Amino acid sequence: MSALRIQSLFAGYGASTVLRGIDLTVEEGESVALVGRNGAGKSTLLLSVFRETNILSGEIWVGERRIDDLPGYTAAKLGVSIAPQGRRILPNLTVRENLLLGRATGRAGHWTLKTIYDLFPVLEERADRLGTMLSGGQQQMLAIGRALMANPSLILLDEPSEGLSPVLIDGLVDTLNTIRGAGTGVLVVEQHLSLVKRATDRFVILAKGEVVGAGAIAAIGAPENQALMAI
Amino acid sequence: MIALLIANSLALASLLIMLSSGLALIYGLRDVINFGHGAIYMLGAYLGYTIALVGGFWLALLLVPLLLALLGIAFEYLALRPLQRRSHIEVALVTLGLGIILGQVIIYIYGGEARSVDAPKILSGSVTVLHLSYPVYRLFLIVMGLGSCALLALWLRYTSSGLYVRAVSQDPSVARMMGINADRLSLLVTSLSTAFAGIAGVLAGPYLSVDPGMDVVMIVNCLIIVVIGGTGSIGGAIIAALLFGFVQVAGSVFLPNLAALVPYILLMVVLLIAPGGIGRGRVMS
Repeated sequence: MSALRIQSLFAGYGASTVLRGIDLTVEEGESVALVGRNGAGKSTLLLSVFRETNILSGEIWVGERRIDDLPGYTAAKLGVSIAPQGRRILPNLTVRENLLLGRATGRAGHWTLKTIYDLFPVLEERADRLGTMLSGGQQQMLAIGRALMANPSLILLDEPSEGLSPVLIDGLVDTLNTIRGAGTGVLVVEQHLSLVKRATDRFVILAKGEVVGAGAIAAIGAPENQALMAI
Repeated sequence: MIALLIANSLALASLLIMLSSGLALIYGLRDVINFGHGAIYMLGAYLGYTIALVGGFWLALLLVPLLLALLGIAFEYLALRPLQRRSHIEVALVTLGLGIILGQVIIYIYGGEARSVDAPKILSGSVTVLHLSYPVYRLFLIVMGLGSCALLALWLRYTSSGLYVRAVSQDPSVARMMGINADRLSLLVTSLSTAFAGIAGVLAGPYLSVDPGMDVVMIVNCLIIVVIGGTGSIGGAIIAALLFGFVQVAGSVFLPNLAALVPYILLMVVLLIAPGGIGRGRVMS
């Protein structure tokens, strides 16, 4: 069964249409990279799963449930969570409180405060500080930890390496592989090809709101794919 | 003298805290200034008056919040949810209109004259505290006000629903993506807010009078408090209510001719110093 299935999706903001007939499927436990230039519609696609965009037509399925006409919180309840672009840590909540928000889905599973602290020990050390007092890398850990606390079957990560040093990006690769090892699928929007090569199974290329290419991750460096990513 | 001043300030602030924190909660969650909040408080006072005549003050204090919580549920389903995609000014005007209608219905039923409510026997008379004789009912008001304030803070700080309320008030979009159902929270917050207005209405009976103008006076005071506190900030509203109570009481003692202007002077001074109010952010700051 697919963790997420998107069919012929047209969506955008207000009167503007960003996504034009997107088809995308992520199977359970699979790790997929969504790549393409800035403005290709990658973030819009992730946000559409939570109805944070204006969905014009098409279908979004989580497992066996169609959700494109259901309230935005439904995707999380059904097992899709997100670490959004820019992290969006809630400023007046502590690190621990930000993590506890993930429990709102009511889903039980591998990820608890303890397993998150095992994965990111620095979050336990700073549990009582405000989330926005953390460094950029630590805030990224917090955003991923918060999404994992929902015990999702699929986690969406939007530019997780944004603003991180090369050392932290290596750590991020390990984290993504740990998440996959725990049975959670990953759909990651990412510009760093070195990261996606080490942490995903296949890629999908978006350009101008359309899927223009896809394949096994080993082929991402092929000249024709590089050309598609530059559109 | 100072102790008496502080005690009287706290008594007045207790009512204001119950009302303005409810107003701030709804604003924090729904981005709606409920101009009908004063009328709900007045309804609480008149219902309290009526129930107290039949079954006594304590029954009124128990039943009125429950009845007004039900009114809050109806308000959420019939007004706030259908209007949640409309502009702030449209929703504010609807709440103002509903408040005016509710106020006129109350006047139609009860007439225009003020009513008095007796405090229950156990709360009548005075008690001596620190060589100061002070009315027991006012002490009760202070305990109720500070107690409800503490309960509200504990709920927001230590329960999951309180955490979710704070999250929605800070970033509704992120809260939604985390799986939080803001509509369900809003139902809880709106009914809690109207229930608090009901408690304040019943408590106001023996302290102030129950009269047809009490809604306007109170909503104006509460709006000043919510703005001073930083719109949507519960912590700010509580501090602003205490400040407001103090300047109101001190103004009536030391500047009786200017007493009515003192709250507005306070508002201007605070907004000149801190244009966003004294609260640091939304709901629990």
